[in-house]
Amino acid sequence: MRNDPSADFNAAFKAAFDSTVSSRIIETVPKVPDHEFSRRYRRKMRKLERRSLYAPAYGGGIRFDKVPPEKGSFKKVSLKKLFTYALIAAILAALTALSVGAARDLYKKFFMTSFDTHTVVKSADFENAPETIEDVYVITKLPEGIKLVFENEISETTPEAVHFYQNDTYQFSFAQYVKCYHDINVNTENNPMSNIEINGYDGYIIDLGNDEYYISWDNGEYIFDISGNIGKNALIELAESVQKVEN
Amino acid sequence: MLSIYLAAIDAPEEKSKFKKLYQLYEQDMFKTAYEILKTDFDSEDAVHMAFTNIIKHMEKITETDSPRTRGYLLITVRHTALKVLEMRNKIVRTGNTPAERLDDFDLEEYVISGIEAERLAAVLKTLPLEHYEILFLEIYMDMSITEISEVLGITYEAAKKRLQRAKKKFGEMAKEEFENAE
Amino acid sequence: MKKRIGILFAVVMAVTMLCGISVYAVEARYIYATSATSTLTKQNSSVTCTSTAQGNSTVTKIAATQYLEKKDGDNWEVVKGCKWSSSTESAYLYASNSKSSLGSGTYRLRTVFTVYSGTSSETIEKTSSEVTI
Repeated sequence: MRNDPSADFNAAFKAAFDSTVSSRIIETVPKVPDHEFSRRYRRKMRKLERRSLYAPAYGGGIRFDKVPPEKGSFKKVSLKKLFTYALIAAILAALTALSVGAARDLYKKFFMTSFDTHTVVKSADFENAPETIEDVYVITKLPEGIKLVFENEISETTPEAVHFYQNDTYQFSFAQYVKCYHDINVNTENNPMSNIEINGYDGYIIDLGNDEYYISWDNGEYIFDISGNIGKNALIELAESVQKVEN
Repeated sequence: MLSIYLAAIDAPEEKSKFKKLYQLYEQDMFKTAYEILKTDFDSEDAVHMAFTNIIKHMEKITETDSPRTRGYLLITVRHTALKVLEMRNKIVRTGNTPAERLDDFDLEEYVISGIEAERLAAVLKTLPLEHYEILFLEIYMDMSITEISEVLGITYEAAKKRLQRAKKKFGEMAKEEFENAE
Repeated sequence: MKKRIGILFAVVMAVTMLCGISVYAVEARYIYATSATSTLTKQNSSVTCTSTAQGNSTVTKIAATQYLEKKDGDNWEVVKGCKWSSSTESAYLYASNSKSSLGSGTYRLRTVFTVYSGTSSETIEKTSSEVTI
């Protein structure tokens, strides 16, 4: 027992939390009547419950974590709901036009402007970066069984080199952007964004739900992004395998 | 009308776990959020947002019905509600005092081996709430700084600084408590 | 709930009338779209118009219309012959078109994307920053 003082300390601390959580946290909940939750809330929670099926269960390795939804089968909405959504959309559009969100915290290499439905991301320092795609970067650890289905032609006036990979169940994109032209809308509506480092480079990651993620980072020369439904760990591994093609 | 749901009901335990969680705790979470936000609409949003967050760290919850889990969910929703309030009022929360230099603080320095949980609890009882909450997440929930930053909705650096501040304060109060007890 | 939407709508209408901002039904929530870009690059008197959009794994099709626009006073006019449409039966769209021998002025590229997931869709719009020739 006395062999690992650190573990003892940890255990003692945990026991201390055991005995204080009631008075510090639980009993501070206001003693008021229960609330009757709205249908809107119930709907959102049901959707979340479906999403909870896809909480990442595995760690490490480029392994595809689960079976994604069938294409096109995700939503079946009634006319009434469609009308309600359209009405809400119109209102949101107006509200969005009226209220511009403030810039986000501390993403050093990125300049971000947040709106209700999305965030606009641009490069925060592109002074010394190439103004064209001079060097091509590729993913060097491609998983088996997935094909490159699209790649664009690059010329002096092409601001980004893009690649799209797909098979029956999985898909992901990989893009390389000239920094001064980088200007992208990313889906941050109810999708949390947080810091991430890819090979030591500053970046951010967006959790899109259903095991889909969007990752972007700046390696000093270019901005890259990679996005798909292959699970967070697999996506990070692919991102970390990105390298310049040496001629 | 039956919507077509996903074929992959491969984790039925996870499904009922999530349902159990909100059935057990959504009322308390709502009441906590309501105290801050004062409207049904925003408070429901805060509870939903908190659960969005909680799903990402589902593996941290080992028992659905326990004070530890209740505490974790309440801490999460409190910070989600504060974030909603911040966005509503367009306040930028200043978490960092730039001039402050915080060295890496080792809590164990202040704890002589043999210290029991009761003594630590005595300090925890009066430690300021925000410090209590972040130590709860790190020690009781075994969370990393990155995970803590996600729960609190702040950057990695801000979470690191807040954790250091909490440990420092705990250490100061612990020192006082143990010296008085001698 | 419906009453609340009704009141909200009325308030928004009132406010927008006061502000003189037109309400678009074009922009919807980002449910299916992951990202969108609309970029204008130039070389001498030519421009290249590049637009991309990515949808999540439920997306079956993306359509896009690019408008190369020139500033005329306070308005933006679409340059003649510079409205391009394209679509893809996948979750990734890439469109690139060029226009040469442009007169001097300020230009921008406005792209309207429609992202489809089965029979549902959403429309999002992205406009590039301005480029001067």
